[in-house]
Amino acid sequence: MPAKKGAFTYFEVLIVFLIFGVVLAALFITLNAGYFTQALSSQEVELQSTVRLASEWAAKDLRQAIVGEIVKVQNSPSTSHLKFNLGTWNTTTHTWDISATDYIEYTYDSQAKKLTRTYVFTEDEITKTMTLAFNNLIEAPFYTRYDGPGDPDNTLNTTDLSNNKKLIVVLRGEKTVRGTEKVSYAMVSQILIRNE
Amino acid sequence: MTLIISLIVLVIISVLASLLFFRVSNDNRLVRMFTDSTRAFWLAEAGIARLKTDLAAYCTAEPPDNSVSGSIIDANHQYSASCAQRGSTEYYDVVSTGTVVASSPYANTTRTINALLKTEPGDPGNFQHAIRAEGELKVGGSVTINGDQEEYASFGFEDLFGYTMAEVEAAATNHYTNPENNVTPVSGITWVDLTGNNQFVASNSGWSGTGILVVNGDADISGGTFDGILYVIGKLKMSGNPVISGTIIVESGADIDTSVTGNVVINFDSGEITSSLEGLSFMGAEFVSWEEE
Repeated sequence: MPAKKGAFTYFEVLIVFLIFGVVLAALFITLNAGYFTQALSSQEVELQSTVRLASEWAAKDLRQAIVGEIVKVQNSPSTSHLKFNLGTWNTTTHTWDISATDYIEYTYDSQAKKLTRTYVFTEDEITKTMTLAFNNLIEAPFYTRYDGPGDPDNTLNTTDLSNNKKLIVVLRGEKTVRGTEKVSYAMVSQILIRNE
Repeated sequence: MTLIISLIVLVIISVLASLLFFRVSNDNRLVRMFTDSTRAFWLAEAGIARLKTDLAAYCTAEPPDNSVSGSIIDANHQYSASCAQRGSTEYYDVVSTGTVVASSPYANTTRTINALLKTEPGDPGNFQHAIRAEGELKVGGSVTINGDQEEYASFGFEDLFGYTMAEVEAAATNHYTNPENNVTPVSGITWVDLTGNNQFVASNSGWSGTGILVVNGDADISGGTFDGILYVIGKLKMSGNPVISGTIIVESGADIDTSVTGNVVINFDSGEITSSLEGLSFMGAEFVSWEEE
């Protein structure tokens, strides 16, 4: 009687491959989900960072702006545009000395979903420009009345702004990750403009 | 085979866990920076708010008494603010810094606000007489009056001081009701309320006062010295040897006489009037310029 050889049957090998395949598939799905989550959170963090930064810049600039400059017709104030010349208080005339050349301008481009801060200033008699851009912002940022995203009553009223010196700054960011998932983040602040 | 697969899975999970850890800690750091910065700003604002509770005291004091510092919540959230006159103008520079103290390895976060305060002192030009009274002015004895005197005068408190009685009373540095004779201190803005038959009495030769003294009732002054503006809403009787430098105004009504006798000396002194009006400077003070460093 021939000796019995220690080997797996075809059925046993098949079962092993089947289990191995299931484990690999589970591993792949898990890793893929992990990678996707990582990409999502990475984009979310980046978006939050952009919104916070834009909010900080806007708040800092607007707090120390002169409200009379913001509401000037020639500076074209709107929900998507603010421009204000910078000045220093003259302690002899007791009025603001407004510089025509030094100004800060915020422009929102709804097509590009971009808010641009432009700072024009004179240094050593040379006019210089500093530009900062904040991307993935889906809504115009400047209001005196804000009832919610896309509300038709949202507006920037220059008379209200002159009287109350309060501006609502809405920075709503949105980003699409891998073509399907959206991440969003918003900051709404009420800024009290300190200088008349 | 199983061992190799297990090791690979372990390595991949470790790498993912490390990535997640660094991402979370980085995100945490960014949020921490943002919140610390926001807190530091509002701490700086708190410093200014604290100064505003008594601008006159802080802004007229010499360093280091011209500054105020403190903390909110705990010792890691501090503010420090100071006020200093810009030259000899009516302007004062206010600087306030908010600090969030961070534990190692993070750095402290500070934000500083610079503001310019404009004060509104009263107009000394509104006071042109040594003594003015709404009623008859009866001067006798060896009284010396250096300056103009006016009886049956017409004036209003707010027109003279630029503020209502209530505003001046609210800003008084000393406020007395039916005080004892020769009350002190009388400096800055002193408001005296009298009820019933009580009178404001200054009879002691060593009594002295400065600033704006408003007596809401009758006054009997027979000794001491006073430099500034003496405003009596009632009947004023002066006798003995008091010396007044500045101006006296008596809002008594047209039918009540003001009596000045004895060796009273009244010197119209625009310098003393100007000095006393400085006590009103911070009542109408406002921040005209505000900026963050």
